[in-house]
Amino acid sequence: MLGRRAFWIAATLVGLAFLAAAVSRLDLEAVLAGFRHARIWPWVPLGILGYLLGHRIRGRRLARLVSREATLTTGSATHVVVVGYAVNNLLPARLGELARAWMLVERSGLSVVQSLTVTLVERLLDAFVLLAFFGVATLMMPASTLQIVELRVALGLLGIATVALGVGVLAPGPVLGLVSRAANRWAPRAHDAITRRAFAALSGLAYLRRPRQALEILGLSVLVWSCEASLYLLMLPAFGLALKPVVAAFAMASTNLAILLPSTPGFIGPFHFFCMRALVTAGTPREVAFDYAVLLHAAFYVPITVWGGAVLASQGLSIGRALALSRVARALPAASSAVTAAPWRAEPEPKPSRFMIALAEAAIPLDADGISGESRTAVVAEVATFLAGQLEMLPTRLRFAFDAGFTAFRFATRVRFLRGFCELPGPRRSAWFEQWAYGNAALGRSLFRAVRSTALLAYYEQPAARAALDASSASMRPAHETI
Amino acid sequence: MKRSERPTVIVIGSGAGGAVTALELASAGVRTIVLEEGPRTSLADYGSAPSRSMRRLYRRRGMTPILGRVPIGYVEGCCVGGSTEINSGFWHRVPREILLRWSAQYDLADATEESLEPHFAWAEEKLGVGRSDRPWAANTRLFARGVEAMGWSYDEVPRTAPGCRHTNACASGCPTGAKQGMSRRLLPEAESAGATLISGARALMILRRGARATGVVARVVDERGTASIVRLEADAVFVCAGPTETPALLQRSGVRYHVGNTLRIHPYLKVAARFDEIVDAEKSVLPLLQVKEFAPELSFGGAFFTAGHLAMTLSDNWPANRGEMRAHRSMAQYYVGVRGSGRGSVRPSLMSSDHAHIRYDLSPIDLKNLSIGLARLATLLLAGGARAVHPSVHGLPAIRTEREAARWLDEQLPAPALSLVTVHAFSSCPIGERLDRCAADSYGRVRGFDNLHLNDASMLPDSPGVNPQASVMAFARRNVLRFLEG
Repeated sequence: MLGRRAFWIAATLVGLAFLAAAVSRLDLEAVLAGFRHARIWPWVPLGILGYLLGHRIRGRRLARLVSREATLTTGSATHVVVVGYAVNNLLPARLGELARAWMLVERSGLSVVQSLTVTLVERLLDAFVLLAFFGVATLMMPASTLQIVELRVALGLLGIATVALGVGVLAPGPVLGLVSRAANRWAPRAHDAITRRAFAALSGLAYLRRPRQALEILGLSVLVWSCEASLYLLMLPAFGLALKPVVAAFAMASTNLAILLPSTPGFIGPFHFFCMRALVTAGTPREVAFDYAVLLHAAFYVPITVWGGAVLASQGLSIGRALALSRVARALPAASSAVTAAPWRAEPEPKPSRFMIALAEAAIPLDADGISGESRTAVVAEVATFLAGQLEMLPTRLRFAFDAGFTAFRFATRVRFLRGFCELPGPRRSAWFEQWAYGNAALGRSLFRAVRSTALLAYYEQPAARAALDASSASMRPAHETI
Repeated sequence: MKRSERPTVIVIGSGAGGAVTALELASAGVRTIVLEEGPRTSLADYGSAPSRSMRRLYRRRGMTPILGRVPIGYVEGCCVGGSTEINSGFWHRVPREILLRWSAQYDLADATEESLEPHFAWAEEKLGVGRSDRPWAANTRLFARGVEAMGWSYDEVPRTAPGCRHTNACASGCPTGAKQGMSRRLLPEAESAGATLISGARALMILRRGARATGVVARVVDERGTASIVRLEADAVFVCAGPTETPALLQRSGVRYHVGNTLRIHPYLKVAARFDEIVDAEKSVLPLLQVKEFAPELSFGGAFFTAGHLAMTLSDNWPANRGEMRAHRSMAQYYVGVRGSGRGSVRPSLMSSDHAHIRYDLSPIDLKNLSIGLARLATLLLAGGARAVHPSVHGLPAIRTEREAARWLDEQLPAPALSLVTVHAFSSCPIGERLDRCAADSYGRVRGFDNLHLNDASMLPDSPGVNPQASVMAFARRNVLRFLEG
């Protein structure tokens, strides 16, 4: 208890020290004048809008990250994210991360370990993207020694975390074997519990094991931080500063990297210090930079705290229920009728990409069967959805090969026709597809073997295709009617 | 945790091996928990279009290719009842010659026709194995005509489908309930006897301490769709997860001795034959006959037929073949299958616990047998009245004369052009007394363990050359009775 209190006190003191450093030797008159002349409208509301949109995307990212293990809507996930931020604003030492993990347990039924793993993954992704922003910005503007130190420390910590995460994502089997053997040797009584927790942690990484999904998460992370950068960017004109994306990105990355470490409630102190310092590095006077940091912090603090408070008030965060759920996850549910009778649940079909739709259209004999108009659209949509779902099921390394093959095919299409595959007119697209799928190059045939077979299988199940087939077979007259 | 006084046995998998194991254990009063990865289904879920049933009943929606020099399409069931829910229901006792081979090569004890007889008989009684009581459909009659014209002999293959109404839905789950998949009788009996069946439960790892398996860690999905990691403690574990998942699970759990290195399969080459007559294969059961002359090395039979499946077979030469679709009512599909002599492997994916990497390399003998098989099957079909036989080989035009067919008696099919499939895999963890070859002893007890057992197709020492369901069920019963005696 004493330790935790001491930690809180230390974190608060560190925060206050940063705040003191930020305000020292400031011209108070100039600071107040800056506030008086600040142009709140339209910049601050616009910035806040961008920031809140970023939280919605964070929610989407969280929902996707846990989707292999639990069903969570984007709305619920956004609430979880916002509550985490609100608690971080109210309590020191980033305790919001724990609150958020608990709430995730409660909302999704994930185990505590899985939930914490997902939270850790999100932070790592954030650090990745922030470092990228920071790195790009430092290439375009001079950074201070402190900022370079910040970058190096962040890179070092991130490097270690990345290796650990990479091993967990890419080789869960060996990691688990290692944990099991180590536990058997060093703590045989706790072996089962340790192994189970290791499993839970590794399953928290499940979504990242598919390259396409990992890329999707990375893309969402970039989007999240671009939205946050928009807050920093749109605050600049409020103080008469030029609308420079590089400065905004630099300030955003520098500040957020610094506040990844636990400190005061709402990061009061470190936030102001690092944000102000970033602007000063870009040539902004200290007083203006301080004004900017204070207003930005208010925009960062107030809406999310209010939103998070509203979520907590309306939905409640029942730690007791969360604990109860996590205990269920650990118990032996063999006799539970709910478990033994678990019904079949259709996994959501992946939405086919434009390319997949074009591929499906090229692989099936729509024109030969005279299918057009709405029927055609419906048939292509069904076939493409099935095709996308089936290809998604291929083993990882094969999916890699397919993705690489499709990329090569699209590149070749662009070189050959100076247009993308999706932009080619229907007959040419079909002819080009056939050239690859039924041509002499074994590699092309292998690439499209699964595509053509799967597409044709689904095609002949479609009512319109079936009707066309039956009509064409009725026109054939066999030599004998029956045997 | 307070343990029950009765021993607890976990059975992983509810297919042909798992269902038999669970039934015998539960009937003997053992506390039995069956973990099945797939969903629990009812007859209402069966008989739907292939694309829908693939989503619901097949492992990874039927997308589990076997990689190798020639990639081979492989499917297995992933639902309560396993592959028995989606197979043809053909029933073959393991040939005497094969049993002798297993005995000679693997020192497989207590595996003679006589010793297995009661187990085959038990399974046949349970599943109502018998021949069709309906007139043969056109696709079977045409096949019979071809066999007779060739001067060969055939047998109608018994099936586990008493009262089959020829709905042509074997591969989508029998909607009439005639086919006795494990979910029809054995598993309900096991549950009545006290077994607990947990569906949606994927075994991730077998917990072990020294020479004992202490339990299983599984991922269980509840009705909300939320996955939980659970631990189930056990006094013994039977792994019956199938020929690809059993070795993958064992390896993930650190059990590797002769595990997953000897996968065998029956590679199949499909052909579509066009006749003058209306066959309407889509409205009847698949052909029921088996040519005896070349078994077990080479087998010919009928394949599941829908317009979509026909298109898949014709798709290797689609630009030339697509017009044949118009004649789909006059077409039927057949296959040539070989008793694979190549060797494959199964490895758990490093990237995920969701699937295994399966590899099989066709041997030169496989390729030669496939070529000869195509020649003989095409000749048979032409003799039976087929106008054209379309093999699923890229670049190979339709075979229209016996002379064209005979070419493949002496020439070899081009391996890269083949589109092969299989539904029979086994032998990935062979049983027997040979320490240098076998993963488990003659009764399926995994080497180095007191209480960890195999009881599914992975244990068959080598390719049986026939549909393996009967072999799996007979050996599984023999093994579990031995376990109960011990």
